[in-house]
Amino acid sequence: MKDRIKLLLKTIIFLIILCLCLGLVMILTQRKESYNKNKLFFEEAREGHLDVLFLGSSHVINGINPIDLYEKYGITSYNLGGHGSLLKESYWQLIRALDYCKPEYVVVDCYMMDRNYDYIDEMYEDSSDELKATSISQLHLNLDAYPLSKVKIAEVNDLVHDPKVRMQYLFDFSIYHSRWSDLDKDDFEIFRGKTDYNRLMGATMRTSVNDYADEGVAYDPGLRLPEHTVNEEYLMKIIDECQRDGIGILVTYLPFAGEDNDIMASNSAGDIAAVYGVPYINMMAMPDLIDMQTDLADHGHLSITGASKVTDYIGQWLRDNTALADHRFDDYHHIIDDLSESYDAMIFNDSVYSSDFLAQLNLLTMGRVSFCLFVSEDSPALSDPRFRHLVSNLSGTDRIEEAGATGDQYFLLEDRGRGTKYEAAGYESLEAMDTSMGLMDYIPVEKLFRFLYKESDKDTNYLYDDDHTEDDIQLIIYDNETGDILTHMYVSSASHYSFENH
Amino acid sequence: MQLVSFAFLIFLPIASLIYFLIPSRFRYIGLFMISAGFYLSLDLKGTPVLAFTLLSAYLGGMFIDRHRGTAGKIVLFLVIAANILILALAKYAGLNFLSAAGMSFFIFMAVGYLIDVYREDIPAQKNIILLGLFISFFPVVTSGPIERAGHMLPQFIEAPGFDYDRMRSGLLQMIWGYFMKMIIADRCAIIVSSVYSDPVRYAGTATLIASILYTIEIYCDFGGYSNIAIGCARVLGFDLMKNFDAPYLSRNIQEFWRRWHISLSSWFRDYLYIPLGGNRKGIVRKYINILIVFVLSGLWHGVSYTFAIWGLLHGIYQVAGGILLPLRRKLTDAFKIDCNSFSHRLLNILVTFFLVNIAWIFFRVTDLHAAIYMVRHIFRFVPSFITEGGLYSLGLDRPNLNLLFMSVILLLAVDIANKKGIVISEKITSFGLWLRWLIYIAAVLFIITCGIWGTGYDAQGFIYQGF
Repeated sequence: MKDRIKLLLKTIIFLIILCLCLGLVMILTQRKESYNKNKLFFEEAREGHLDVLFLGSSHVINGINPIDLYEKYGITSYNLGGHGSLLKESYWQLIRALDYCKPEYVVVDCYMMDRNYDYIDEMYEDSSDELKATSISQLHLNLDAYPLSKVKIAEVNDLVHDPKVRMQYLFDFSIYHSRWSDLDKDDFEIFRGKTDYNRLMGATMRTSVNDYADEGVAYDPGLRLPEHTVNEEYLMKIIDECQRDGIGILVTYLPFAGEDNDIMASNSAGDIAAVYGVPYINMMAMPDLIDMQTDLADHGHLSITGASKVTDYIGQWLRDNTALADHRFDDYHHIIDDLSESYDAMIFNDSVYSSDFLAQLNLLTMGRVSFCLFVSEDSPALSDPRFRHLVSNLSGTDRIEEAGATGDQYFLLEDRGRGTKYEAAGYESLEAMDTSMGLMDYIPVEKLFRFLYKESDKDTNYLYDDDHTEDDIQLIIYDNETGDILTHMYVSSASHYSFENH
Repeated sequence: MQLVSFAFLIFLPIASLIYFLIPSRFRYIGLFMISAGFYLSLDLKGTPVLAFTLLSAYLGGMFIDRHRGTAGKIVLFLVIAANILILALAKYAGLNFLSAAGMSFFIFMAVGYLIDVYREDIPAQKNIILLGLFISFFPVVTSGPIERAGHMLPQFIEAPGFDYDRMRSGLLQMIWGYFMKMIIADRCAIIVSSVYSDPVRYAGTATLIASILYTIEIYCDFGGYSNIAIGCARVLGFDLMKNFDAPYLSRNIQEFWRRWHISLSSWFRDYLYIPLGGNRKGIVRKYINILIVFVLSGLWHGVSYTFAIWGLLHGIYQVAGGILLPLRRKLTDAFKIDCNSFSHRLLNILVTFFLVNIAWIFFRVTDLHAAIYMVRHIFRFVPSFITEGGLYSLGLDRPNLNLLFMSVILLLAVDIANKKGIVISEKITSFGLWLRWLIYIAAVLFIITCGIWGTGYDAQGFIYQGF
């Protein structure tokens, strides 16, 4: 008997150790994206710090920046947008989130409200397997971080039809165990509690710029969805849920270069909001809100500059129409300050060291650094409307257009430390420019030679280098306060704006 | 419920617990009910076929036991014919309502039982539940091993109690089975499926690699299943017959068949080859008998004529081996080749492996043209396929291929050890507690993590389950 008890104890201890090891392996092999995105949500929601929750698709992830919202309006929020999330998924995201907090306001975006299918793993009859697989994969970003619960099971059953596919959300080790061959240092960092996490309160800012002019179709206020869709139903459920819980709701349709069906969905969303008597902001109907050429990262998603404008608009609306508290002066700012710092560092870093020259020109509008831009005579960039548009955005004038028309060389210096801006085209000189580097002179001499020097050091010509006579654009980026040169880029516009950094 | 499934991993401990809690004289009843439940969960619509086989074997056995002579012979023939007819109608005539999971296996077990009763090797089983347990015993009902009543019925009657060492040994064998199935077989299957689904698209090197991987896959798939089934039975206290014994280390085809699917080849030997006259009626008749047995063995696997060709090839290998034996002996004598030298043994093993490998191509393809195309192209070596990374385009990336390669090396090492009489599980059991546990835990974690399973993987079961 004694031996049997010993044997039983031994077996139990063995099984406990085995289960513990298995648990560690499960944690190690998990895909970390969902945990990274939601880490701060769990922390801040439990502390009751979140006044606003943003729901929607990747348009929301890329379009609303809670850090900006806090810095400018003191509103605390979390971006719970999910890649590829339909309103049906947003509804369940809201239900899950309400288990952790009760926000003052919910802002829900209605992109893809025209989609009319029940299950993400079936979609439409003619949907490709690839599209379905993408949709199935994207749902993991929303779900993985949340522990198994009745709500999660109900959500999976509602969103997914195939029981085998459902299993991968309820027991995600069934797919993530195969990550054993992709494990990297970050996966192991989880055991030290040092995993990276989303520091924009769920948002992701895109610094790239749409690489083709894509304005989308013109807004038509008369268009409506031809049939009542599943996702309209779920917009109603979201509004119902919020109204039942006494949560304020704002319905939005964030701007992008949409098609007819998007315009229809945006108008139909307005109809539903009107029926429920809730506010609605249809940004598809605001052609001047964003610049389609610089504020979109691609035809659907806002770039960082577009997100800044949209966030600003919504922030102002919330400030004007709600009684949301300004938290900039309470204890919460200690948490946000750290996040703001890393956000600023990210913009600063991308402004100086971006791998995409045109995206970098767009980032310069955010004002984190000062710069000096020179475009040589007859540069191919002068006949590139996209380039000219970006420069025009920076200068705030049309002189680059004039230079483009004549093929003249062009010069622009903007000093954020001093608050000065200087611009010249053709053989126009600029003297005693007040900059953080000191007083500077710009003197164009001939096509391949020009001067840019400090008046205190005329021997150093910043705009000429024998090794770079073939490069037609130079961009010097320097620190706003100290005037230290951070990078000097020699760009060849004929080679897709490839460049060398010095 | 598949043997590779979470459901089974939950089912087995519960079934074991229930089984051992039942008083020993009633255990066979409990085990029969568990097995019946297992089968019902696996193939509800196939249950009438299983019930028919059981009833016919039971009644037939009782009749034969009481009426020796012509009447018994006629009943034996009728019962066997009825069961084989059902098998044939289901498999060859496509009458799906007659098909049942594992029917090739349990019908052969029932036929073996009847012949044993007729030969008076065993008495007819009067307890229908015991006979039912023999035919439907859940570890073997779907894919064997094709057990003998004389071996199993006494064990069911004895109903051994719980034995910790047997349980541990059984679990270790199951782990090894899962390793073979989930780490090796299912990984090989990915490449094999890519190439065999469109053989014309691939160059010679890919064909060669896929054919070798299929040879490994089918061994690890069926060998893996057999290990799980045998281990599972051992957890419950029963010994099943060995089904595989390092088959690819065989030095000739005859030896291969002594080591490959032992329960089926010994069944054909005992219940077909020997009744046909075996080797007792002259050399020509012996060769004819071999060809008959192997063609039928091929047809047992399925309706396609390619299975018959596969069986015929093995028959021809054996007949040719027998005919050429004197010549081979003369040559080895003339060249003074030491038949026991390592190099000669290795050559024998490689040649046998190659012949088996070629035959498996016919087993795997669905039409003869594809098989001939593959055999013709298998020797067309295209080095660029390997040097330019073509190997990684067949469905497995570099880490998975490396893992597969290392796992096959481990499999080879264990098979060599087994052939030398070294039982690895016994070696592990002799280690100290912590090292032992470390090995157990590492093995389980390795299989669960690196095994091919989960979403995207269709755990439809084992290749032999389809036969």
